Amino acid sequence: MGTITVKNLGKAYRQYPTRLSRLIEWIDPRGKPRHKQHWVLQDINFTITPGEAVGIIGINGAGKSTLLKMITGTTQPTTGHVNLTGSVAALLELGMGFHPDFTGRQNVYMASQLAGMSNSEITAKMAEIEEFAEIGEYIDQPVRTYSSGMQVRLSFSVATAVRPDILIVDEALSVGDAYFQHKSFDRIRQFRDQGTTLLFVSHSAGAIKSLCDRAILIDGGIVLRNDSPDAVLDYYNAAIAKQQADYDIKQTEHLTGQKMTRSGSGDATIEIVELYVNDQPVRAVLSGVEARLRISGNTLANIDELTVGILIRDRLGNDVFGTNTYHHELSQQNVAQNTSFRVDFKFPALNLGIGSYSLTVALHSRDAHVTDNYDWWDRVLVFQVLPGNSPTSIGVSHLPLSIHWQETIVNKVDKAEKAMLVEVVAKQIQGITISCVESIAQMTVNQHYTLKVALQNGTEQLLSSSNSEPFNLSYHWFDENNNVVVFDGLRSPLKSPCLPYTDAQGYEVVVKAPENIGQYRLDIALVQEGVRWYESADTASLKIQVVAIL
Amino acid sequence: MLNMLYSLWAYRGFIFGSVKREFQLKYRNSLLGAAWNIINPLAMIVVYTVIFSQLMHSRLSSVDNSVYGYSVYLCAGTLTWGLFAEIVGRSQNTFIENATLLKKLSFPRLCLPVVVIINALINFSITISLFTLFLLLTDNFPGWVYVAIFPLLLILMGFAIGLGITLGVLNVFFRDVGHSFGIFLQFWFWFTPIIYPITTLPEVLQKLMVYNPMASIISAFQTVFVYRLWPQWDALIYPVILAFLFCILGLYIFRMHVGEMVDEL
Repeated sequence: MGTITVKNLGKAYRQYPTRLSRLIEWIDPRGKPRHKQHWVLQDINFTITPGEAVGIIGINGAGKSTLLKMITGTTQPTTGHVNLTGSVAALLELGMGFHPDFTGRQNVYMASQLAGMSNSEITAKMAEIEEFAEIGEYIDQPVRTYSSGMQVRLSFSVATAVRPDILIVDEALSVGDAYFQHKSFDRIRQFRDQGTTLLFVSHSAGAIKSLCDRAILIDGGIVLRNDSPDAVLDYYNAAIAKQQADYDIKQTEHLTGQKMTRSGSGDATIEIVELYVNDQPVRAVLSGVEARLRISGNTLANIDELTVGILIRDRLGNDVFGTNTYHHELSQQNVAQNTSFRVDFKFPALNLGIGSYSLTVALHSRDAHVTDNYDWWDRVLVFQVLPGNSPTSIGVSHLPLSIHWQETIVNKVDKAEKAMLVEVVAKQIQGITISCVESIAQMTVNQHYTLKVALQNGTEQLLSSSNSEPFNLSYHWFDENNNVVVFDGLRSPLKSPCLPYTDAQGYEVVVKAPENIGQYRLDIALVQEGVRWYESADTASLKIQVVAIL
Repeated sequence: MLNMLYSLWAYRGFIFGSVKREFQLKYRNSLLGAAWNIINPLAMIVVYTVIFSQLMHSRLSSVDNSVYGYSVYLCAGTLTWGLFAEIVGRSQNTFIENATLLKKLSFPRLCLPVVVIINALINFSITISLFTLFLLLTDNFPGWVYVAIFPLLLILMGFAIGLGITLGVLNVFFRDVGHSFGIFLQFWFWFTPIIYPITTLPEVLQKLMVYNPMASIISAFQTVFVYRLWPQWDALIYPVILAFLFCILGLYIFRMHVGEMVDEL
């Protein structure tokens, strides 16, 4: 369940010279084709194993959407075939199939019916869908009264009401507010951890890096790379995204060229502003590379003091970074009329976060443009920062950073030492024992497995994930030398509360096997909000042989 | 073929949901709501009865002295023609009307014409019930021969479905089909003895009527309702064969081009 096999897949759209030629082709008994084939995808081959998360990237028009449409069965392939096992949910276009005149509830039924669900199944899931969508009383209002965010929320919760074996997600998720984006990504992550195969299309390198085990790069209708996300994204950034982003931004600049706001007395004017990387003018830079901003201008009057200032703003117009020559004590005194000047602002490393930025340049006197404003040019250029080769980060700044672990704690934890450590932190909830009910002796690398764990609560404390500090079951892999291979595994929150002084309760922990073959020990622990409160005794340790895919 | 039926069955929730929604949509924002389902055909029966038989004193020469004879004749023809026209007319547009659904979602495409057919059947069953009630009240009920309308309806619908799906698929690729068939349907209506009795036509045309499958089907209905006789079954062999052929053609064209259809919409 959950396998996607794509074999020799190709799609060509038929192009007929005239309408009539199609008719002739249909009724011509010789069956001579009269159309030209326009190939958008060719020779696509890949297999996705159950539980794997694969990202598909490519520039606009690379054929990603066509590929997804063929995988979901909306469009028929011209060559080859797609094989899916298990149930499929596709989030290709949120809000699809919603009728504006029906209420949210009626539309939930319609959308679920389109996914092949029966009415009783939908009714059973209704409360959950309503709760996740968080649209309150609007559920019984016509969809035309909804905001676009509400529509997205409702359709996302409908589409993911039942955990599918295969989940296919298009860019759709880039709509909605940040809160809901997080919520929906959490749900996708949760599905993935429970063993759902994930196929994910995005332009966002960050999302692919954090969510996927593998990435497929499509360009010009063929699979260019099929490798680890890091390797593919590096290639993508270097070879394709930059050219495309450069081009796109220049296009929009050209189109919106008239809208740039400019003000000032005109005693000095900005002529050319250009961003250079390796002496090449660019509109897309990799985060953290060396860059140079060159500003050229002229004076039209004698100026006592000339300051050149720059201001970088993010997509939303927030100031990210600004400075000027005055603050650097480099403003020019007594500049004569008709002088042309050139100032270079050199960034040894342009440590901006991934995203789109605009640059504002100003010519004025002294430290700010309040006194004498000669020329102020808003959004003189827009540039894009793409993920570089350094680790992923979020936010507008990409601070240089190195991380140092206290290796004594992480590596070679002595058994006795560890037991002590556990005793100290676990004091407050002593009396809880974990034991593994069902074990698996052999696992395949990188695959997910479900283990049954029993939890006996002998304390007065109620354990549940809905407490203020949620409880999770997490796991750790140790190799033969007692080194921690995976320090902190994926966490499964406790689904039902573990009541005080009850008999043992059963839970399921989804475990991902290490990426290399070998003999390992698996410890399962009860964790509260990342702080280890209690760790398993030897009873929950399992000896597991991890093997390669057969 | 079995696969097709099986996938339709799996999507029965969607099919019945769509039928329901279409009804809700039709009478949304109206005070009388579903009552319009009854008022409309009732008005039609009243118009035919009052205008033609009472005011214009039109009489069918073959049905002497019956006050309602001509209005029964009119209703028998228009109601059944209405069913035919609704199935054909709506199925030829159903794929185009639902283009957005077809392009974005994967579901058995045959659901769409099935929704049209079920909808038309519901509408028809309302009007035919009213008509039957009218016959009973005016003491015009044909008696046992009434059951003959069921096999007749089967032939009519088979013909309509086959033709409708064929045109529906063709219309996606050649929009001319939709426009031209609308005109064709009008000519067809007036070339079929529905409003007028066949006997008013010149003899040459009466002979040509054999080639009009709708004329045979409609006249069979008229035989049942107006003359209260069993229809001449042998006259229906030609429409049955034609209905069968169109069903095969419709399914064939549908299967051949269903994939290409999405690319064209």
